[in-house]
Amino acid sequence: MLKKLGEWIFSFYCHPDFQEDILGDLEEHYRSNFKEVGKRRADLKFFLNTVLLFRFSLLRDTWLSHNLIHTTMVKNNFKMAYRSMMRQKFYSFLNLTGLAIGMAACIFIAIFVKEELSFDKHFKDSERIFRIASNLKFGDNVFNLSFAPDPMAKTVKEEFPEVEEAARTRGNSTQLISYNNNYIRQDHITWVDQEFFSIFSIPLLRGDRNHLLDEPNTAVLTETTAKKIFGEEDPLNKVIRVNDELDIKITGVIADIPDNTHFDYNMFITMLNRDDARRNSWLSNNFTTYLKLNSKEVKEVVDGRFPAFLERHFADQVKQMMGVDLKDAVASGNLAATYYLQPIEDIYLYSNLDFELRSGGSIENVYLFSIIGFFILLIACINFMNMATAKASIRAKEVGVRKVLGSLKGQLINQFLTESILNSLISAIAAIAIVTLLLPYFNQLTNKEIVNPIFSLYGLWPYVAVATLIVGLLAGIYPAFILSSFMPSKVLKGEVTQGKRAGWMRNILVVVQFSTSIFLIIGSAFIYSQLDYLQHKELGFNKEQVLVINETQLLGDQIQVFKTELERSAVIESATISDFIPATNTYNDSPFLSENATSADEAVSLQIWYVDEDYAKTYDLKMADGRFFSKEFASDSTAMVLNEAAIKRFGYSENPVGRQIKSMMEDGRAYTIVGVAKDFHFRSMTEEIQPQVFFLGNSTGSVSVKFKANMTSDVLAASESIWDKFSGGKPFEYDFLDDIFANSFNDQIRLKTIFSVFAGLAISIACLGLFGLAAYVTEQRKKEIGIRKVLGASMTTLLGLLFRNFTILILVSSIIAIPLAWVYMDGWLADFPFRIALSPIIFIVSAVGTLIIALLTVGYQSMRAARRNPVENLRCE
Amino acid sequence: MKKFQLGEFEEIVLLTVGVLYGEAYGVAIKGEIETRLKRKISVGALQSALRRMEKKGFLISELGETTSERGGKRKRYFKITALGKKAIDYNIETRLELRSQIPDIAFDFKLC
Repeated sequence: MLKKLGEWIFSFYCHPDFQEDILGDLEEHYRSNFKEVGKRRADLKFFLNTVLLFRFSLLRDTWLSHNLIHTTMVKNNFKMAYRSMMRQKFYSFLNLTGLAIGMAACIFIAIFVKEELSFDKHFKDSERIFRIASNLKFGDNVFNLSFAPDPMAKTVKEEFPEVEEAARTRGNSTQLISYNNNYIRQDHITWVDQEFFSIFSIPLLRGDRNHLLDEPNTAVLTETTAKKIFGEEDPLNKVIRVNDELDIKITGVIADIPDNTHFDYNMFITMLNRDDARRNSWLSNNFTTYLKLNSKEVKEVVDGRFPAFLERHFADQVKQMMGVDLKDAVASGNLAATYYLQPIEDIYLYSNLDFELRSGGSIENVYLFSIIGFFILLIACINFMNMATAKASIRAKEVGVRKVLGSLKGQLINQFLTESILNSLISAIAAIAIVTLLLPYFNQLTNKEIVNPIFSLYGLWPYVAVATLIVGLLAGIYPAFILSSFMPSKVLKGEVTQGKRAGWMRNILVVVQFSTSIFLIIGSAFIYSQLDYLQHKELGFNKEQVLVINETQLLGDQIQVFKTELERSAVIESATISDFIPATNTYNDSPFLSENATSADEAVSLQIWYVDEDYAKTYDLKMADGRFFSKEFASDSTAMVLNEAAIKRFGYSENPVGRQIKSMMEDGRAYTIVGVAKDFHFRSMTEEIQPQVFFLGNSTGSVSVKFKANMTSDVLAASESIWDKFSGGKPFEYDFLDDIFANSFNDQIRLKTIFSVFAGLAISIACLGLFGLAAYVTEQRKKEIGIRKVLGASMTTLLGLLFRNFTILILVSSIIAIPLAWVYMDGWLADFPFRIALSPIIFIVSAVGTLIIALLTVGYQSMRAARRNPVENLRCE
Repeated sequence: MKKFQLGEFEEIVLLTVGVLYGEAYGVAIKGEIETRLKRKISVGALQSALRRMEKKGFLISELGETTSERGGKRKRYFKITALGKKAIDYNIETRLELRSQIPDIAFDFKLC
């Protein structure tokens, strides 16, 4: 066996002249070895010898004097490609630019898509980590939460054998941290169980993994946060003060959490510090609960265990709290609670529950951008094909001569493919250069931190290489076949070389290009105006000239005096004490019953906001009915102000003021409606306005101040000086409401910009191609133009003649693109509760705009041709 | 003289081919060198040296008769050419000349 293999290898490389005698020698050695040392050793020796015989002087001739491929032809092809490129520098430049820009756009999109798809996959065993999500329903109130009750994690781990580890987190807040009397406002603080760090493999830089958060008053920081608070000091076992009341010891430092993670915490305080974490309440869902299962296949098993689990643990508390039997309530459809697992890898792109930790990702956008990328590349490829077929008449003679001299069709196809692959290679290099140059802007635009996306370890370079080859082949294959099939006899006689077919094909390609461009333009116009509409929609409150002063709870009892002082300032119109700031996505809901409700099914879940009497005045809330809270009414402590959405849900068609509403918590305490506030957008503009209630109450986290117009710097100075009087050196932290509001739109603004950029790119690449095509067609018809001019054609006639074809093409493109865009945009807008109408104006403007851009592109060439002296056109030859 | 470039191993092979006049084929050459010089040589080294010297013109070769013990494969017999002889002579002469030029004192080993 080994001997056979050896022989085969040897005869493969050895010069045939030497094979016989050397193999004979080997055979002789083999036989003597066979006698001396046995078959196995002899076989092995034989094999080794055949391998060791691989010597330069024994090799086949082909290995020495000939190369494996015929480089001469390849070299020739490259030379031809270079020459034809240089012969028409202008067209080549247009071609390459278009292709390079298209490829750069595609690479950017690929970077974006890859980054979006990479979320949470960097954790070890990420496919086994899940989050418990819930779907809760009572009466008409439906909740889709990313939360579970506090005992869930512990109980699930005890009862489900599939669960390896379970951990909870709660909160994502901003607190005032002090160390050595330096105050820092630290954001993204959360409370976690120690097991969190066993589930998520985040590298631990300092501290003991087994004793991170197992004592009260301990916390873990990320590296950057530790640097921010401690500088170069070792943070381990140092004590920091949170909110001026709680001393916390740092027990560990972890590496920064990668940007592509669905949470972005900077500081982890132990869950032992939260009393609500061991309340054992199954009916309130407040904890993000992560599970690590022993394999990813058992997800369904765990999902299937939840119904029986609920029966075991929920029933008692449901009976106690709501007075109903869980089974009956579920059977009657009044109550439903479903818990299920979400793979963490899917959270960022697919999950869109309430209280999602990080927004911005959506699989629709990933698809959308992939499609746009594909279309942009398609447009660029079509440019290339069009130019190549348009130039056919020039190349036709070359093809004819080559064929006469004996070139085969296959060789010609090779030649043209080499040319197009060379083109796409040059474009790819240019595209990589463009990407490298523009990466900082791209990061800024997409709010990501991507470094070296192409040539890094898991970079895109293999994809880019493959894509370059495919683009080269795709763009080249059609022209290659057209050009190589010319009949030499006809071509050399000078007959019209481009058949009608090529012209038709070119028209179809142009139509594809422009339909795509028009579609993208309409799409981005709608996305732009929809997002613009949301940004400038009447909010129902005043976002200008409002300053929000944070961390006012530090003032303690003096907050009222602080407020009074503020009101006394000349630049301040009014001030209000309340944590609840519009547009900040605060959630705080609770179920309520109307006075004549008979069962718990009629409960309405209201967003509760605690405010003081000046809230409506400061934020310019309008009242639809009744009045806002006032100091003149002592009874206002049991009064409530509802918004219109809440009134609608309670079903009060008239005279809501004076009616009573009962809370389902607080032992059914009743409140009287004293006023109805007009609906205002207190949350994201992409959501419906939900039922909301105001109570007079204490929430001292921030003070909002409405100031006089154009007094921005004065109000800051005034507020700060008043703050300093009371705060005892604590930092003055503030935000302007319009900034908060603008920040809540960051995602949408980003989307808007990205779309506009790519639509702009698509149309400019298409126009680049059109420009080349127009230049070419005009060039071809210059004799015709000259003759027409001599015979007395006017400028307008000539321009009309040149414009007609392109105008028809663009009209056809619009007719194709507009219905498609209509259907698509209709679907897209349906997701928004507040949306613009699908107005035909945008469609018309987009189509006409494209036509104008295209005609301008063509126009330059046409004008030049039409104005030229006919002598110049006719004189040649 | 570049013309007679001959490596040490090549020289031994060339000489052995001469010694085995008429019987100089791969296995015999290998056996002869191994018994006379008491050193192991590999088939690869030997064969490549043979072909190299054939190319240089020091050797010529012809295929012999078929024998059954070689699986029906013919032997290739090597013979020294005139150029080969010149190369050997030149090599040996230059070495002898060099040897004779060494002064006696260089070989005067004393215990020092």
